[in-house]
Amino acid sequence: MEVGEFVGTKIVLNVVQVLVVLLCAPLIKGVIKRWKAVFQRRRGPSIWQPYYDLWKLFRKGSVIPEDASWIFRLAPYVYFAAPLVVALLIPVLTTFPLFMAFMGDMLGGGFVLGLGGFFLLLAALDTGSAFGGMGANRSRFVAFLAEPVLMLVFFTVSFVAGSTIPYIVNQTLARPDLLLHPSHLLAAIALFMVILAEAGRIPVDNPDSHQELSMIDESRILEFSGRELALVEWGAAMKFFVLLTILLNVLVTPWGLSPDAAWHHVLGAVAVLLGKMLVAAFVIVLIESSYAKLRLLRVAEFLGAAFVLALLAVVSYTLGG
Amino acid sequence: METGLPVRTLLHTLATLTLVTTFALIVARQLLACVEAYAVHSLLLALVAALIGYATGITHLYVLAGVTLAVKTVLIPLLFRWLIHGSVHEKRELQFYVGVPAGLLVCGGLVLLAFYATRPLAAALALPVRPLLEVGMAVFLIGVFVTASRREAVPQVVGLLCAENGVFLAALATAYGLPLLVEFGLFFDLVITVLVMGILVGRMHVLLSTTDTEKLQRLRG
Amino acid sequence: MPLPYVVLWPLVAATLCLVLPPGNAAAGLTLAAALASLTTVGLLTRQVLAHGSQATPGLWLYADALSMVILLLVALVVTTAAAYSWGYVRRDFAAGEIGRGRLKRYYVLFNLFAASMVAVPLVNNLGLLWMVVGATTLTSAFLVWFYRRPEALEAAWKYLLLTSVGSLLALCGTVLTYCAAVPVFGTTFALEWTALRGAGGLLQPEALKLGFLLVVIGYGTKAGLAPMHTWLPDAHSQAPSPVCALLSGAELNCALYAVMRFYVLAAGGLGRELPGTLLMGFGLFSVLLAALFLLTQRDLKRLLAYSSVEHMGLVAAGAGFGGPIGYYGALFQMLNHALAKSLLFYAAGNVLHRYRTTRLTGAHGLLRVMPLTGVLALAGALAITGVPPFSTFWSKFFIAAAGLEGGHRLLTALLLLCLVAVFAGFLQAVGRLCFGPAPDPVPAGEQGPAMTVPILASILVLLAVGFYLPPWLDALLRGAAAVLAGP
Repeated sequence: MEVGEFVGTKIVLNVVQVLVVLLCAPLIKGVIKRWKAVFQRRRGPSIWQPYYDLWKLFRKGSVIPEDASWIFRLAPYVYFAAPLVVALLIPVLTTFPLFMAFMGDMLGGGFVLGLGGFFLLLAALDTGSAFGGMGANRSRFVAFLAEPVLMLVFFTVSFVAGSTIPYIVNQTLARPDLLLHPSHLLAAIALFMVILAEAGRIPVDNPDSHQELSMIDESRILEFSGRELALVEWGAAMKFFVLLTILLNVLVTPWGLSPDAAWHHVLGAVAVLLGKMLVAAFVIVLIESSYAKLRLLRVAEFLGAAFVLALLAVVSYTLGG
Repeated sequence: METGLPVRTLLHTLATLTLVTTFALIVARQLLACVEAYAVHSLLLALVAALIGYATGITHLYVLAGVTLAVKTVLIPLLFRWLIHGSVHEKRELQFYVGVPAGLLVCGGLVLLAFYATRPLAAALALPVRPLLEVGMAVFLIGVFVTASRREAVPQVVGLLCAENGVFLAALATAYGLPLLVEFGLFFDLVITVLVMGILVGRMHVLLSTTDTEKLQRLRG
Repeated sequence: MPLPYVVLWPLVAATLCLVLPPGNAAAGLTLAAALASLTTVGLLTRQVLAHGSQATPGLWLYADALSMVILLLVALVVTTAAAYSWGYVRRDFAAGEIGRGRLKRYYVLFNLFAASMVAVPLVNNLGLLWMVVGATTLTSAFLVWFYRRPEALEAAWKYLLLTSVGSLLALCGTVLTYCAAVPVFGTTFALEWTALRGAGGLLQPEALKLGFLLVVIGYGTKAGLAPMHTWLPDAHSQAPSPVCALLSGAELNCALYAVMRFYVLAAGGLGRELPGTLLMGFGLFSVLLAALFLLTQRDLKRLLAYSSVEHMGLVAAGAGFGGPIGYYGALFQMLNHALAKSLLFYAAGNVLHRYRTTRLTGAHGLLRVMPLTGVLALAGALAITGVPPFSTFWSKFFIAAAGLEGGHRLLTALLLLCLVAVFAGFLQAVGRLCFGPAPDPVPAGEQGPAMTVPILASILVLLAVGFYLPPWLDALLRGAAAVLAGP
């Protein structure tokens, strides 16, 4: 009997997977911040700083605007829970599908993440503040341009793998000839550009500045404080982590995952995942240090380019063979 | 030809990167960015030539790769830099007849067209590295589009050069490059063309204090 | 072996003009080189007629009857242009329009241009053909932008850019033709036209089809076929008149010659219908478009430019109609058009120098100001529109006959209609130029002999050939038609 078939193990592994996402997400955020500072010849904050921040925020009281409704109170929790749900569906640590793996596929995962963002948007509008509305507006602008690209990337990858379940795609794509096919490369580049957009990195948004006027993200979450803010920031970090995991574990490097439930394999998989994350973080730091933020209207071109690349990915697969 | 997995996947990767670089040419809004995109483009081309030379054992392809590197990656971008050095338009943004988002969609369409048009050809020729031919034709069409959609004179020339790179790529894919003598002739012709165009652009800048070809509208009918 | 010498004379002249002082020495040298080329061409023609096609060892240079027809007309136009330039450029220099530097540059570039054009019919390798045709554009770019005017710059830029795009398309077409030959010859193959012609039906049809289409569009841009002709009127209105004569009379024909070489390959591999229809389509479209634009022209040189587009379209249509008469007519038309168009441009040059403008509103009364030039211009207009007894009548007649024989009645009727429209428009324009009172400030009297003798010579040749076609010319044209008809 295969270890993977034992239901209890699968549930445990699923929980472990979610915990990994939960606990490691702020670390990646801290690492990126630190490395960016080093690039700029500063010392920068410690890589554990996001944890300290979360700890601080959880102990502070929260201030809620008078006109806010239950949506404002609910939104952070939904936003926090969404990446965790998606973490159940994607191959984070193991190559074989876990307990909840067939609950939803990549499209479902995309929708769940979208749900979190949607609630945050509603909360921003709910506050009645001008900055909230502006932030909501801009984030929708970016999101609606990014959605088609995501769809196309998922379609391409599913075409190749013959399935939309991330685990199965991961297993199928572990072959090098499929991996380095031009359509696959184009899809990976397109997805990377979308991740930069969705996570609010340069060149779409500047994650360092906290000015509400220049940002898409900061103005959206301007009214949150205390525990809600902690949940939102953690949720954002986890969303970024989850998207990167999809990129790395499904598209770019589908190796290094644990083939069974043996604990040393699983720990090894965690280490490999963190390693891949660090490489991705390095690339992101390079991009963030080399480019400036685009004007908001130019973001349309950026995502338009991603769209065309994704389109080419589909085309080159169907026509190129 | 040796079509082992590493060679084939490497060729595919290079073909994809060439296509992506061509798109970088379309979205480039600075003069120098155009020239740099062309330099990277030619570098990838030289790598493809060297790789095919390695796979097929045709040694003159190494020579070709070397000359491509020397002429297109180094010499011609230097010529361009010397040409636009000191020009006031060096830092300014480019003007387009067709804006970037529309241009991207058009180029997506052109790539589709190229893929569709070369399908019967590639099938009939039974190529081991089909993506190269398709990408070559796509790059050619995109290069011609860039020439047609830019208002400034220098990006028009860069578009032509990129299109020529595309033809070169298609030639590599289908016939492992043209005969060496013809290739040298092509390089020579290319350098002279760039020189002549460069001189004309320089004169344009002196005479009209702009290289915006939109201003060249006096002759009609 | 006279083959390489044809190209050598102008090249030597170009090098010498670099070191010689500009002026009469350079002009005389250019004329001498042109005459030497012409003599060599004559010798070569005799050899080709007697012994069949000639080639240098290694088949780098190859001359058959088709090459000789083009070479003959190029050499003739170069000679008359060299003679005419002597007077024209000297007057420009005397008037202070150009300085010594540009005078020298003119002769150097003229010789290089001439050398590249005589090389085109002789190269056997298709890749080198592309290169040499590109060389014709590059050498003439600075000749088009000769006067320091923004309009000239615009014309030169448009010329260079459009022909470069066309060049690129032609390169793509050449590469595709190479692909078509790879299954037959393998990959270590030199792209020789003679070898490709021999392969005939073995060439890969898909590649050949796409390749020929791209070649027609690409080289057609340089030949002035519509809708890629837009550089022609601008370039011709801005360049000095002898350069215009070279462009219209020689360069367009060289580009069309390249198309014809590919036509032979395509017809061999795909059959005659597809390539013929393509040529017919472009040809007729050119004639139609040119006729429409020609009727509204107010500038003499632009009028002549559109007339060139029309004639190139006619040649393409003739080649497209096919059959021995069609090919004969097309080639004969190339020859006649070269002579007639060049003489008209010389006349226009005389007009420009005397009247300081070529706009028909300003230039009239030519018969009173320069009677000889006026008469010759009228004769030239009759010649170019195909009025008997000039030889152009016969070439147009042959093309129309070929059309009817091929069963393309509607197309031939359309063609003839356009020709009639062109005749009317042309004669109206030239009539306005020649007749009427002379404008006051214009002094009367002819330009020097250098600027009238070439015109006279050309018109006399056209008249003579119209009455009596010398048998050697007939044999040459038949031989060239046979080359086009294929094995």
